[in-house]
Amino acid sequence: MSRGLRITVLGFLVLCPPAVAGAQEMTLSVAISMKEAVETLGRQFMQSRSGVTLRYNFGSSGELQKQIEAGAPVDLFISAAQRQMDELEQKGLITTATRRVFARNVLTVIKAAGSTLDIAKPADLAGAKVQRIVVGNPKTVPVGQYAEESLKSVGLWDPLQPKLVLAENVRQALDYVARGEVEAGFVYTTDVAARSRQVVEAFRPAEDTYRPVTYPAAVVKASKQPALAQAFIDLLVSRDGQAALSRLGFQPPPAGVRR
Amino acid sequence: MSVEALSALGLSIRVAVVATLLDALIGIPLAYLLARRAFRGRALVDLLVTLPLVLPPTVTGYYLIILLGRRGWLGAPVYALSGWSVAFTWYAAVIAATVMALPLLVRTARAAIESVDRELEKAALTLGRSEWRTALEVTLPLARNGIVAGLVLAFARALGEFGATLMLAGNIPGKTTTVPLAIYTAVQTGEMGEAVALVLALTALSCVVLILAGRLGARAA
Amino acid sequence: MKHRFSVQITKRLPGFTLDVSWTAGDGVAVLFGPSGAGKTLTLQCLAGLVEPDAGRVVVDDRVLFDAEAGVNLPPQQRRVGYVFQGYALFPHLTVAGNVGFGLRGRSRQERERRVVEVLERLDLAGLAHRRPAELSGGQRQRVALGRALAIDPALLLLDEPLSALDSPLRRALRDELRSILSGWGTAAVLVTHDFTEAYRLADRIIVYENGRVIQAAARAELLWQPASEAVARIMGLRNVLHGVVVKAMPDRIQIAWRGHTLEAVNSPTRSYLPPPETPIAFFIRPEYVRLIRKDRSAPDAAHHMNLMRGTVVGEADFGTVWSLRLRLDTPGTPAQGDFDLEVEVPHLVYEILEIERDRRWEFSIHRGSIHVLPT
Repeated sequence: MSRGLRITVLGFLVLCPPAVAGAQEMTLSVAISMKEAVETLGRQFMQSRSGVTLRYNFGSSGELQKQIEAGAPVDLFISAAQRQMDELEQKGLITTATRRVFARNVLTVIKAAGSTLDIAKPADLAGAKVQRIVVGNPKTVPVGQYAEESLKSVGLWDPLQPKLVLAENVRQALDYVARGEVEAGFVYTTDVAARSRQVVEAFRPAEDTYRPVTYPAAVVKASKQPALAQAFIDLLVSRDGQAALSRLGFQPPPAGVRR
Repeated sequence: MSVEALSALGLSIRVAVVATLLDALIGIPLAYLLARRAFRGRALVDLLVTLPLVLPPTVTGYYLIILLGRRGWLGAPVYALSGWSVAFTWYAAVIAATVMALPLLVRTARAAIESVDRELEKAALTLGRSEWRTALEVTLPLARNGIVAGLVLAFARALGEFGATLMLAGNIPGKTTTVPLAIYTAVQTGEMGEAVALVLALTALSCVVLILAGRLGARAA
Repeated sequence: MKHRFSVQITKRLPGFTLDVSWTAGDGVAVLFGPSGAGKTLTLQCLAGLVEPDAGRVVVDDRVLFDAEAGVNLPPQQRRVGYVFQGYALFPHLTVAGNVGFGLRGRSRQERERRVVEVLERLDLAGLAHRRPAELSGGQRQRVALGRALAIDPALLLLDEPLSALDSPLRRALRDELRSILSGWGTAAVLVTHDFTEAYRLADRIIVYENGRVIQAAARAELLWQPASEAVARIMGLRNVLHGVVVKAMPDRIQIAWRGHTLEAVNSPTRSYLPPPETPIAFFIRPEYVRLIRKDRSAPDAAHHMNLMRGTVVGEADFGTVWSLRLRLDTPGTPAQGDFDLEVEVPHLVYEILEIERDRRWEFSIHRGSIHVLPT
């Protein structure tokens, strides 16, 4: 186990004292692009259930997946891509029956708010003025996987390699652009709102160049609060939940896709 | 070992060597000044040099971004003039490692210099040496063991630097992914074979450095 | 060779002020006094290692320091050799490296020639490649001297050069140092707190007390005519006593002490004429008190002046001499605790006179052996 993982697991143990009778506590590992949405719904969830406390663990889906594999005491996993959820399912670490897709997102390319660069289409990223482009690390960060797929389909992934800066999660990619450290970055349309004064959308890659960005949620098999976790998934797919997600810019899951 | 792992190993050694050389260039004169001269702001310099030793590396990394980032106090004018920024380049990894390792060299070398008998320096002065020549011919040679020990510590620290490097240099395979970062990524992505190979390589390298340092120390004594 | 140097230094440190002025010439000037009197500080000012607040230091017409004129040569330009208390030999250099250290700037050939010459003169030729750690105490002293002398200093400074040594070695090296210093003829200033050492090595002795010079004189003059009670005490003189002047004349002086009227020679050079009843200090060297043999005819006043009687109340064996403590028969409080005078007699005399058995004695002190200490 790496130092990082071990410390994370230890952190869980320290931060989550043994459940007191009567009080219920649930830990959610959530893809960081869902941060605001899950926090909003979480407040609603706790208000309607007295004595319930939610703890959040935000990160890249790949990072969260590894923590669950390492035995982190998590009740609910919300991923920004199917791959991480698939791998956990194959390893028998989630309760398959609970898995539900509840939202969809769209990839976008952003630049700093004051940027004078003309970036309107994928080919513009190859321009000399664009020195660095941030993408999530495709190995662990879903937004990086989608960016890789999209750039590969237009034949730019390899030529752009020297410019690529890898971020550990989508919010770090957003931060690099907001700080002006890089000229452009791949994030979700919903992320832009988090730094709307520092970044602007440059263009959206064609949606047929990458797999649909869908968010699956599932109860972790080792959960001590499976009913509570299931209740949260129910909230996500409920009319209320969908309305809240829609207000934050998320789209409903593609028709006919349930898991 | 994969190409990425080998490149990380090569980069780590390159970064640690350059950082140690820079530390020697900055740290030895600094250690001498702190040990032997009373000057205005000495306590402040001492504090600034030592801080990276006690602060979390991420805090040091954050300061480095504020200073050297494209919109940093120093980074912004440099970027405005040259269109170049140090962040996310291997130089950034060198800078992070240099800053993080500097206190180890300065503190060790300073203690060694302070333990040199001042009468010897006075003797050199009466025998016609300037303070500068005295430092070169008497003080530093006599503090050599401590300085070598400090350099070894600094090299080891530079080799293992993680937090500040990640903040300023990012984690770009082939460019800024040093061994500690590569190990972190390998574990995050479940490539345990790669992680183990790198862990063993770094452990072996550190052992070699310590053994070499032991030999140097023995020869100096 | 005619050397001449004058020193005038004021240096204020927290809790201590050095304020001295003295001159010296050829030979060895010894700064003598208790620890903490400012002797080493004076050397450091001479070498330029410490900057005085005021004053002037001139060596052979070269101004090394002049506060008013703003002159302060750095140590490396003073051409002043310094032998440090612990010798301060460079541990990372050989004997030859140490001796040649000050010769930078000369050609390599000349440097080597000079090193060989110095090592030979100091009997160190075989040790050229040794390190200081491999040398005996005496060899280290010679290397330290050689290193300082190699640069042909205008002035040689020695700070307690013998204090690092054990006492038997110390005596031998004291004499060796003396012959080296006189052999090289370099003007030297030597610091010591040991009077025997000062007396053996000095041509001129400058007595320090608490940052001031209390006497500067040729060594013989100091021995016989300490300028004050303070000097006498620092020199470690015994039997420093207090009386009252009865009558002072240019050639002699009468002192009332413990019921006796002592007659002493007045100082011929500093004829001292205090009025009667003036308190006065004087000292009597213990080895100049004469015990009077009882098997001879009665003492006669022409040969035995300052005649007194007393009892031995204490004694100590110092190997070659016995030190006796005598209390006078006259009533009153003894001058030095439970006794009045310390008297020193050689072992042979102690045995012949059977002092061990016979404790009551008559004794006399020649007037030339009672030394007046002006206030």
